[in-house]
Amino acid sequence: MELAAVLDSMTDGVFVCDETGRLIAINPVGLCIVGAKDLEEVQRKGPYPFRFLDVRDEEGHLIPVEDSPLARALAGDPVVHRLELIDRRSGERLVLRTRAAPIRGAAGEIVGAVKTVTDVTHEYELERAKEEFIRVAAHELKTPVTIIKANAQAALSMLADAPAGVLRLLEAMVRGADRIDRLIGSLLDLTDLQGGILSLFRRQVGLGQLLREVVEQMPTAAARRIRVVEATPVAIDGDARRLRQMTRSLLDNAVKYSSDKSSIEVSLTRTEYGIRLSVADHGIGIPDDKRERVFEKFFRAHAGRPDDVGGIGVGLFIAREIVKQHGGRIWFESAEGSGTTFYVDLPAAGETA
Amino acid sequence: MSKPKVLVADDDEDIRDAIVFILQRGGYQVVEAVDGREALDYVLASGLPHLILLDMNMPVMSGRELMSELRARGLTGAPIVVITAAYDAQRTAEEIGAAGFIGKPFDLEVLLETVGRHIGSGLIGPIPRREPSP
Ligand SMILES: [Mg+2]
Repeated sequence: MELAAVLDSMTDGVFVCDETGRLIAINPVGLCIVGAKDLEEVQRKGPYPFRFLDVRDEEGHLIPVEDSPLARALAGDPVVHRLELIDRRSGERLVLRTRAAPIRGAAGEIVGAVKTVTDVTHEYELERAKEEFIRVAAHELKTPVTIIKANAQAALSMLADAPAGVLRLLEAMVRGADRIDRLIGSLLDLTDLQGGILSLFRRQVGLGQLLREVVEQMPTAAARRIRVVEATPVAIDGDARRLRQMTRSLLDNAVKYSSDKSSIEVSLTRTEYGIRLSVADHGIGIPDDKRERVFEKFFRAHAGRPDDVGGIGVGLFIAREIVKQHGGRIWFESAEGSGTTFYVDLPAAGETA
Repeated sequence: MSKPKVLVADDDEDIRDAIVFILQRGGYQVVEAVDGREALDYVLASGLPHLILLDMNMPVMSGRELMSELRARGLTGAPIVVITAAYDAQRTAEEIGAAGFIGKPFDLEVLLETVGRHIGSGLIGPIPRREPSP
Protein backbone atom coordinates (compact mmCIF):
# COMPACT_ATOMS: atom_id res chain seq x y z
CA MET A 1 0.00 0.00 0.00
CA GLU A 2 1.27 3.41 -0.88
CA LEU A 3 1.95 5.79 1.98
CA ALA A 4 0.34 8.60 0.00
CA ALA A 5 -2.86 6.61 -0.28
CA VAL A 6 -2.91 6.16 3.47
CA LEU A 7 -2.41 9.88 4.04
CA ASP A 8 -5.12 10.70 1.53
CA SER A 9 -7.69 8.59 3.30
CA MET A 10 -6.90 9.73 6.84
CA THR A 11 -9.70 11.54 8.61
CA ASP A 12 -7.25 13.89 10.34
CA GLY A 13 -5.44 16.67 8.58
CA VAL A 14 -1.76 15.83 8.13
CA PHE A 15 0.97 18.40 7.53
CA VAL A 16 4.62 17.58 6.98
CA CYS A 17 7.42 20.12 6.73
CA ASP A 18 11.15 19.85 6.12
CA GLU A 19 13.79 21.12 8.52
CA THR A 20 13.44 24.68 7.20
CA GLY A 21 9.74 24.67 8.01
CA ARG A 22 8.71 24.49 4.38
CA LEU A 23 5.57 22.44 3.93
CA ILE A 24 6.33 19.37 1.81
CA ALA A 25 3.15 17.35 2.21
CA ILE A 26 -0.46 17.93 3.13
CA ASN A 27 -3.38 15.56 2.80
CA PRO A 28 -6.88 16.38 1.49
CA VAL A 29 -8.34 16.88 4.97
CA GLY A 30 -5.49 19.28 5.75
CA LEU A 31 -6.23 21.23 2.59
CA CYS A 32 -9.88 21.35 3.47
CA ILE A 33 -9.12 22.67 6.95
CA VAL A 34 -6.90 25.51 5.76
CA GLY A 35 -9.14 26.10 2.78
CA ALA A 36 -6.50 25.73 0.06
CA LYS A 37 -6.77 23.81 -3.18
CA ASP A 38 -3.32 22.26 -3.28
CA LEU A 39 0.11 22.09 -1.66
CA GLU A 40 1.52 24.81 -3.93
CA GLU A 41 -1.08 27.31 -2.81
CA VAL A 42 -0.14 26.73 0.82
CA GLN A 43 3.60 26.85 0.05
CA ARG A 44 3.28 30.21 -1.64
CA LYS A 45 2.04 31.64 1.64
CA GLY A 46 5.27 31.06 3.48
CA PRO A 47 7.01 28.67 5.77
CA TYR A 48 4.25 27.49 8.07
CA PRO A 49 0.94 26.30 6.73
CA PHE A 50 -1.20 27.95 9.33
CA ARG A 51 0.12 31.38 8.63
CA PHE A 52 -2.16 30.78 5.76
CA LEU A 53 -4.76 31.84 8.28
CA ASP A 54 -4.48 33.38 11.73
CA VAL A 55 -4.32 30.84 14.51
CA ARG A 56 -5.56 31.66 17.95
CA ASP A 57 -5.49 29.93 21.28
CA GLU A 58 -8.60 29.27 23.35
CA GLU A 59 -8.50 32.73 24.84
CA GLY A 60 -8.45 34.24 21.38
CA HIS A 61 -4.79 35.37 21.44
CA LEU A 62 -2.85 35.03 18.23
CA ILE A 63 -0.34 32.22 18.38
CA PRO A 64 2.97 33.58 17.09
CA VAL A 65 4.66 31.70 14.24
CA GLU A 66 7.55 30.57 16.42
CA ASP A 67 5.07 28.99 18.81
CA SER A 68 3.15 27.13 16.11
CA PRO A 69 3.14 23.37 16.61
CA LEU A 70 5.37 22.66 13.60
CA ALA A 71 7.88 25.31 14.66
CA ARG A 72 7.96 23.91 18.19
CA ALA A 73 8.39 20.38 16.84
CA LEU A 74 11.27 21.54 14.62
CA ALA A 75 12.89 22.94 17.74
CA GLY A 76 12.66 19.47 19.24
CA ASP A 77 9.67 20.16 21.39
CA PRO A 78 6.68 17.91 20.74
CA VAL A 79 3.25 19.54 20.97
CA VAL A 80 0.57 17.35 22.37
CA HIS A 81 -3.13 18.04 22.28
CA ARG A 82 -3.25 21.70 21.74
CA LEU A 83 -6.48 23.42 20.90
CA GLU A 84 -6.30 26.00 18.16
CA LEU A 85 -8.94 28.23 16.71
CA ILE A 86 -8.91 29.37 13.11
CA ASP A 87 -11.30 31.62 11.28
CA ARG A 88 -11.88 30.48 7.77
CA ARG A 89 -12.26 32.97 5.01
CA SER A 90 -15.93 32.00 4.96
CA GLY A 91 -16.15 33.43 8.49
CA GLU A 92 -16.64 29.98 9.97
CA ARG A 93 -14.65 29.29 13.12
CA LEU A 94 -12.96 25.92 13.44
CA VAL A 95 -11.62 24.44 16.63
CA LEU A 96 -8.75 22.08 16.00
CA ARG A 97 -6.92 19.68 18.18
CA THR A 98 -3.33 19.68 17.07
CA ARG A 99 -0.43 17.38 17.74
CA ALA A 100 3.03 17.78 16.28
CA ALA A 101 6.27 15.89 16.59
CA PRO A 102 9.77 16.19 15.13
CA ILE A 103 10.84 13.75 12.43
CA ARG A 104 14.35 12.49 13.11
CA GLY A 105 16.98 11.25 10.70
CA ALA A 106 19.23 8.22 11.14
CA ALA A 107 21.57 10.10 13.48
CA GLY A 108 18.73 11.48 15.54
CA GLU A 109 18.93 14.90 13.93
CA ILE A 110 15.69 16.71 13.22
CA VAL A 111 14.91 16.59 9.53
CA GLY A 112 11.37 17.85 9.63
CA ALA A 113 8.14 17.78 11.54
CA VAL A 114 4.72 16.26 11.21
CA LYS A 115 1.48 17.62 12.50
CA THR A 116 -1.95 16.05 12.70
CA VAL A 117 -5.05 18.13 13.12
CA THR A 118 -8.51 16.96 14.14
CA ASP A 119 -11.53 19.14 13.69
CA VAL A 120 -13.19 19.15 17.12
CA THR A 121 -15.43 22.16 16.53
CA HIS A 122 -18.62 20.27 17.25
CA GLU A 123 -17.36 18.64 20.47
CA TYR A 124 -15.91 21.93 21.62
CA GLU A 125 -19.17 23.76 21.14
CA LEU A 126 -21.13 21.05 22.93
CA GLU A 127 -18.69 21.18 25.82
CA ARG A 128 -19.00 24.96 25.98
CA ALA A 129 -22.78 24.78 25.94
CA LYS A 130 -22.73 22.26 28.75
CA GLU A 131 -20.45 24.43 30.86
CA GLU A 132 -22.60 27.45 30.22
CA PHE A 133 -25.70 25.50 31.20
CA ILE A 134 -24.10 24.39 34.48
CA ARG A 135 -22.96 27.94 35.17
CA VAL A 136 -26.36 29.48 34.53
CA ALA A 137 -28.24 26.76 36.41
CA ALA A 138 -25.91 26.99 39.41
CA HIS A 139 -26.26 30.74 39.43
CA GLU A 140 -30.03 30.56 39.20
CA LEU A 141 -30.10 28.27 42.24
CA LYS A 142 -28.73 31.08 44.35
CA THR A 143 -32.05 32.89 44.42
CA PRO A 144 -34.13 30.03 45.89
CA VAL A 145 -31.35 29.24 48.35
CA THR A 146 -31.39 32.86 49.45
CA ILE A 147 -35.15 32.67 49.86
CA ILE A 148 -34.97 29.54 52.02
CA LYS A 149 -32.19 30.85 54.19
CA ALA A 150 -33.47 34.39 54.66
CA ASN A 151 -37.02 33.29 55.42
CA ALA A 152 -35.94 30.54 57.81
CA GLN A 153 -33.81 33.10 59.63
CA ALA A 154 -36.66 35.60 59.66
CA ALA A 155 -38.90 32.94 61.21
CA LEU A 156 -36.18 32.10 63.72
CA SER A 157 -35.95 35.70 64.76
CA MET A 158 -39.71 35.78 65.36
CA LEU A 159 -39.81 32.60 67.34
CA ALA A 160 -37.35 33.26 70.10
CA ASP A 161 -39.79 31.78 72.62
CA ALA A 162 -40.82 28.74 70.56
CA PRO A 163 -40.05 25.22 71.75
CA ALA A 164 -36.45 24.19 71.13
CA GLY A 165 -37.65 21.52 68.69
CA VAL A 166 -39.12 24.12 66.35
CA LEU A 167 -35.97 26.19 66.44
CA ARG A 168 -33.91 23.13 65.58
CA LEU A 169 -36.04 22.48 62.51
CA LEU A 170 -35.50 26.01 61.28
CA GLU A 171 -31.80 25.91 62.06
CA ALA A 172 -31.54 22.72 60.02
CA MET A 173 -33.11 24.57 57.08
CA VAL A 174 -30.50 27.29 57.36
CA ARG A 175 -27.70 24.72 57.45
CA GLY A 176 -29.23 22.90 54.50
CA ALA A 177 -29.33 26.14 52.54
CA ASP A 178 -25.68 26.78 53.37
CA ARG A 179 -24.79 23.34 52.12
CA ILE A 180 -26.57 23.88 48.83
CA ASP A 181 -24.74 27.17 48.56
CA ARG A 182 -21.38 25.48 48.97
CA LEU A 183 -22.30 22.94 46.30
CA ILE A 184 -23.31 25.76 43.99
CA GLY A 185 -20.00 27.41 44.75
CA SER A 186 -18.17 24.21 43.80
CA LEU A 187 -20.04 23.95 40.52
CA LEU A 188 -19.27 27.55 39.66
CA ASP A 189 -15.62 27.07 40.59
CA LEU A 190 -15.44 24.01 38.39
CA THR A 191 -16.85 25.81 35.39
CA ASP A 192 -14.39 28.64 36.01
CA LEU A 193 -11.53 26.20 36.23
CA GLN A 194 -12.65 24.51 33.03
CA GLY A 195 -11.91 27.76 31.30
CA GLY A 196 -8.60 27.76 33.13
CA ILE A 197 -9.43 30.80 35.21
CA LEU A 198 -9.77 31.05 38.91
CA SER A 199 -9.21 34.71 39.26
CA LEU A 200 -7.98 36.04 42.56
CA PHE A 201 -9.08 39.28 44.14
CA ARG A 202 -5.95 40.07 46.09
CA ARG A 203 -5.85 42.12 49.21
CA GLN A 204 -3.87 42.02 52.42
CA VAL A 205 -5.28 39.04 54.34
CA GLY A 206 -4.62 38.28 57.99
CA LEU A 207 -4.39 34.50 58.00
CA GLY A 208 -4.49 33.94 61.77
CA GLN A 209 -7.73 35.85 61.99
CA LEU A 210 -9.11 34.12 58.91
CA LEU A 211 -8.35 30.70 60.38
CA ARG A 212 -10.17 31.52 63.61
CA GLU A 213 -13.18 32.81 61.70
CA VAL A 214 -13.40 29.70 59.55
CA VAL A 215 -13.28 27.50 62.65
CA GLU A 216 -15.98 29.60 64.31
CA GLN A 217 -18.24 29.24 61.30
CA MET A 218 -18.09 25.44 61.37
CA PRO A 219 -21.23 23.68 62.64
CA THR A 220 -21.16 23.69 66.44
CA ALA A 221 -20.52 19.98 66.90
CA ALA A 222 -17.58 20.12 64.52
CA ALA A 223 -16.19 23.36 65.89
CA ARG A 224 -16.06 21.79 69.34
CA ARG A 225 -13.67 19.14 68.07
CA ILE A 226 -11.30 21.57 66.42
CA ARG A 227 -8.37 22.81 68.44
CA VAL A 228 -6.49 25.82 67.11
CA VAL A 229 -3.02 24.94 68.37
CA GLU A 230 -1.43 28.05 67.00
CA ALA A 231 -2.68 30.89 64.80
CA THR A 232 0.29 33.12 64.14
CA PRO A 233 -0.97 36.53 63.04
CA VAL A 234 0.61 36.67 59.60
CA ALA A 235 -0.60 38.51 56.55
CA ILE A 236 -0.35 37.50 52.93
CA ASP A 237 -1.31 39.09 49.68
CA GLY A 238 -4.22 36.90 48.73
CA ASP A 239 -7.89 36.36 48.08
CA ALA A 240 -9.56 36.14 51.48
CA ARG A 241 -12.65 34.40 50.20
CA ARG A 242 -10.69 31.78 48.30
CA LEU A 243 -8.37 31.17 51.24
CA ARG A 244 -11.36 30.80 53.52
CA GLN A 245 -12.90 28.33 51.08
CA MET A 246 -9.67 26.30 50.93
CA THR A 247 -9.35 26.23 54.72
CA ARG A 248 -12.98 25.24 55.05
CA SER A 249 -12.50 22.33 52.63
CA LEU A 250 -9.62 20.99 54.68
CA LEU A 251 -11.61 21.29 57.89
CA ASP A 252 -14.72 19.73 56.32
CA ASN A 253 -12.67 16.75 55.18
CA ALA A 254 -11.03 16.34 58.57
CA VAL A 255 -14.45 16.39 60.23
CA LYS A 256 -16.02 14.06 57.66
CA TYR A 257 -13.38 11.39 57.79
CA SER A 258 -12.85 11.08 61.53
CA SER A 259 -14.97 10.00 64.46
CA ASP A 260 -17.28 12.43 66.24
CA LYS A 261 -15.23 12.04 69.36
CA SER A 262 -11.76 12.59 67.95
CA SER A 263 -10.07 15.96 67.93
CA ILE A 264 -8.75 17.92 64.98
CA GLU A 265 -5.69 20.11 65.37
CA VAL A 266 -5.09 23.12 63.19
CA SER A 267 -2.13 25.40 63.25
CA LEU A 268 -0.70 28.28 61.35
CA THR A 269 3.02 28.80 61.75
CA ARG A 270 5.90 30.58 60.14
CA THR A 271 8.40 28.47 58.27
CA GLU A 272 11.53 29.18 56.27
CA TYR A 273 9.43 29.06 53.13
CA GLY A 274 6.73 31.38 54.40
CA ILE A 275 3.59 30.29 56.17
CA ARG A 276 2.34 26.80 56.89
CA LEU A 277 -1.21 25.80 57.63
CA SER A 278 -1.76 22.28 58.91
CA VAL A 279 -4.96 20.41 59.59
CA ALA A 280 -4.56 17.10 61.40
CA ASP A 281 -7.29 14.56 62.05
CA HIS A 282 -7.21 11.20 63.80
CA GLY A 283 -9.61 9.53 61.43
CA ILE A 284 -9.73 6.71 58.95
CA GLY A 285 -6.80 7.94 56.85
CA ILE A 286 -6.42 7.73 53.09
CA PRO A 287 -5.84 4.23 51.69
CA ASP A 288 -2.35 3.75 50.22
CA ASP A 289 -3.60 3.02 46.74
CA LYS A 290 -5.73 6.17 46.65
CA ARG A 291 -3.13 8.71 47.71
CA GLU A 292 -1.98 9.74 44.28
CA ARG A 293 -5.46 10.62 43.21
CA VAL A 294 -6.65 12.62 46.21
CA PHE A 295 -6.39 15.98 44.44
CA GLU A 296 -8.04 14.79 41.25
CA LYS A 297 -11.31 16.27 40.18
CA PHE A 298 -14.35 14.12 41.14
CA PHE A 299 -12.11 11.65 42.94
CA ARG A 300 -13.45 10.43 46.26
CA ALA A 301 -11.12 8.09 48.11
CA HIS A 302 -13.93 6.52 50.11
CA ALA A 303 -16.53 6.24 47.39
CA GLY A 304 -18.68 3.13 47.70
CA ARG A 305 -17.25 2.16 51.07
CA PRO A 306 -19.06 2.01 54.41
CA ASP A 307 -17.28 5.18 55.48
CA ASP A 308 -18.44 7.06 52.38
CA VAL A 309 -19.99 10.29 53.58
CA GLY A 310 -20.94 11.74 50.22
CA GLY A 311 -19.89 14.89 48.43
CA ILE A 312 -18.98 15.52 44.81
CA GLY A 313 -15.24 15.20 45.16
CA VAL A 314 -14.08 18.63 44.16
CA GLY A 315 -13.12 20.22 47.49
CA LEU A 316 -9.46 19.25 47.41
CA PHE A 317 -9.20 19.76 43.68
CA ILE A 318 -10.34 23.36 44.08
CA ALA A 319 -8.29 23.79 47.26
CA ARG A 320 -5.18 22.82 45.34
CA GLU A 321 -6.00 25.30 42.58
CA ILE A 322 -6.44 28.04 45.15
CA VAL A 323 -3.13 27.21 46.79
CA LYS A 324 -1.43 27.06 43.39
CA GLN A 325 -2.79 30.46 42.37
CA HIS A 326 -1.36 31.88 45.57
CA GLY A 327 2.05 30.50 44.69
CA GLY A 328 1.95 27.83 47.36
CA ARG A 329 1.78 24.07 47.59
CA ILE A 330 -0.44 21.56 49.32
CA TRP A 331 0.28 17.99 50.37
CA PHE A 332 -0.58 15.49 53.04
CA GLU A 333 0.66 12.71 55.23
CA SER A 334 -1.69 9.90 56.05
CA ALA A 335 -1.74 6.59 57.87
CA GLU A 336 -4.70 4.32 57.40
CA GLY A 337 -6.57 3.98 60.64
CA SER A 338 -4.75 6.73 62.46
CA GLY A 339 -5.40 9.91 60.53
CA THR A 340 -4.39 12.44 57.92
CA THR A 341 -2.59 15.77 58.11
CA PHE A 342 -2.89 18.26 55.29
CA TYR A 343 -0.25 20.94 54.89
CA VAL A 344 -0.43 24.16 52.93
CA ASP A 345 2.64 26.32 52.40
CA LEU A 346 2.03 29.85 51.27
CA PRO A 347 4.53 32.57 50.51
CA ALA A 348 4.42 35.42 53.04
CA ALA A 349 3.37 38.92 51.93
CA GLY A 350 5.88 40.68 49.73
CA GLU A 351 7.35 37.44 48.45
CA THR A 352 6.41 36.43 45.00
CA ALA A 353 5.96 32.89 43.93
CA MET B 1 -36.29 61.08 66.33
CA SER B 2 -37.83 59.37 63.34
CA LYS B 3 -36.66 55.99 62.19
CA PRO B 4 -33.91 55.86 59.56
CA LYS B 5 -35.35 55.05 56.15
CA VAL B 6 -34.01 52.21 53.99
CA LEU B 7 -35.00 51.74 50.37
CA VAL B 8 -34.93 48.06 49.42
CA ALA B 9 -34.76 47.38 45.68
CA ASP B 10 -34.99 43.71 44.76
CA ASP B 11 -37.09 42.09 42.08
CA ASP B 12 -37.66 38.91 44.06
CA GLU B 13 -40.64 39.25 46.31
CA ASP B 14 -39.72 36.36 48.60
CA ILE B 15 -36.28 37.79 49.22
CA ARG B 16 -37.62 41.31 49.62
CA ASP B 17 -40.16 40.13 52.19
CA ALA B 18 -37.50 38.62 54.43
CA ILE B 19 -35.32 41.72 54.14
CA VAL B 20 -38.20 44.08 54.86
CA PHE B 21 -39.26 41.97 57.80
CA ILE B 22 -35.85 41.95 59.42
CA LEU B 23 -35.22 45.65 58.78
CA GLN B 24 -38.55 46.59 60.33
CA ARG B 25 -37.73 44.49 63.34
CA GLY B 26 -34.37 46.21 63.42
CA GLY B 27 -36.18 49.53 63.82
CA TYR B 28 -35.96 50.89 60.29
CA GLN B 29 -38.59 52.46 58.15
CA VAL B 30 -38.61 50.52 54.89
CA VAL B 31 -39.63 51.44 51.37
CA GLU B 32 -39.75 48.73 48.70
CA ALA B 33 -39.01 48.85 44.99
CA VAL B 34 -39.31 45.96 42.54
CA ASP B 35 -36.67 47.25 40.16
CA GLY B 36 -34.24 50.11 39.62
CA ARG B 37 -36.81 52.19 37.80
CA GLU B 38 -39.22 52.09 40.74
CA ALA B 39 -36.39 52.91 43.11
CA LEU B 40 -35.37 55.88 40.96
CA ASP B 41 -38.96 57.11 40.76
CA TYR B 42 -39.20 56.93 44.52
CA VAL B 43 -36.00 58.89 45.03
CA LEU B 44 -37.05 61.52 42.48
CA ALA B 45 -40.43 61.93 44.16
CA SER B 46 -39.52 61.63 47.81
CA GLY B 47 -35.82 62.28 48.06
CA LEU B 48 -32.98 60.04 49.13
CA PRO B 49 -33.47 57.57 51.98
CA HIS B 50 -30.76 57.05 54.58
CA LEU B 51 -29.53 53.96 52.79
CA ILE B 52 -30.31 51.95 49.67
CA LEU B 53 -30.14 48.15 49.70
CA LEU B 54 -29.73 47.35 46.06
CA ASP B 55 -30.05 44.06 44.23
CA MET B 56 -27.73 44.03 41.23
CA ASN B 57 -29.72 41.78 38.99
CA MET B 58 -33.15 43.24 38.26
CA PRO B 59 -35.28 43.62 35.14
CA VAL B 60 -36.18 47.03 33.69
CA MET B 61 -33.31 48.81 35.46
CA SER B 62 -30.47 46.92 37.11
CA GLY B 63 -28.71 47.98 40.27
CA ARG B 64 -25.74 49.12 38.26
CA GLU B 65 -27.94 51.23 36.01
CA LEU B 66 -29.72 52.79 38.96
CA MET B 67 -26.38 53.80 40.44
CA SER B 68 -25.35 55.60 37.29
CA GLU B 69 -28.75 57.28 37.03
CA LEU B 70 -28.40 58.54 40.59
CA ARG B 71 -24.85 59.66 39.97
CA ALA B 72 -25.85 61.47 36.79
CA ARG B 73 -28.40 63.47 38.79
CA GLY B 74 -25.99 64.20 41.59
CA LEU B 75 -28.09 62.10 43.96
CA THR B 76 -25.11 60.64 45.76
CA GLY B 77 -26.06 61.45 49.33
CA ALA B 78 -27.11 57.97 50.48
CA PRO B 79 -24.80 55.01 50.98
CA ILE B 80 -25.61 52.07 48.75
CA VAL B 81 -25.17 48.49 49.84
CA VAL B 82 -25.38 46.05 46.96
CA ILE B 83 -26.85 42.59 47.20
CA THR B 84 -25.40 40.27 44.65
CA ALA B 85 -25.09 36.60 43.85
CA ALA B 86 -21.92 37.31 41.89
CA TYR B 87 -18.99 35.26 43.08
CA ASP B 88 -17.13 38.27 44.20
CA ALA B 89 -19.59 40.58 45.85
CA GLN B 90 -16.77 42.69 47.23
CA ARG B 91 -15.20 43.20 43.83
CA THR B 92 -18.57 44.12 42.32
CA ALA B 93 -19.15 46.66 45.07
CA GLU B 94 -15.70 48.20 44.68
CA GLU B 95 -16.00 48.36 40.91
CA ILE B 96 -19.20 50.33 40.95
CA GLY B 97 -18.32 52.44 43.96
CA ALA B 98 -20.92 51.10 46.40
CA ALA B 99 -20.40 51.65 50.11
CA GLY B 100 -20.83 47.99 50.99
CA PHE B 101 -21.97 44.62 49.79
CA ILE B 102 -23.91 41.57 50.83
CA GLY B 103 -23.43 38.28 49.00
CA LYS B 104 -26.33 35.96 48.27
CA PRO B 105 -27.33 33.89 50.15
CA PHE B 106 -26.87 36.23 53.10
CA ASP B 107 -27.30 35.96 56.83
CA LEU B 108 -30.03 38.27 58.08
CA GLU B 109 -27.80 39.13 61.00
CA VAL B 110 -25.00 40.13 58.67
CA LEU B 111 -27.49 42.16 56.67
CA LEU B 112 -28.66 44.06 59.74
CA GLU B 113 -25.12 44.60 60.89
CA THR B 114 -24.03 45.85 57.45
CA VAL B 115 -26.97 48.23 57.15
CA GLY B 116 -26.30 49.54 60.66
CA ARG B 117 -22.67 50.14 59.87
CA HIS B 118 -23.32 52.06 56.65
CA ILE B 119 -26.33 54.10 57.59
CA GLY B 120 -25.46 57.74 57.54
CA SER B 121 -21.84 56.76 57.11
CA GLY B 122 -21.14 57.90 53.63
CA LEU B 123 -21.99 58.82 50.13
CA ILE B 124 -21.74 56.90 46.92
CA GLY B 125 -18.07 57.05 46.20
CA PRO B 126 -16.74 58.07 42.82
CA ILE B 127 -16.39 55.23 40.36
CA PRO B 128 -12.90 53.97 41.11
CA ARG B 129 -10.55 54.30 38.21
CA ARG B 130 -9.78 50.98 36.65
CA GLU B 131 -6.29 49.80 37.32
CA PRO B 132 -4.47 49.51 34.03
CA SER B 133 -4.57 45.88 33.01
CA PRO B 134 -1.15 44.23 32.95
MG1 LIG C 1 -32.63 39.94 41.45
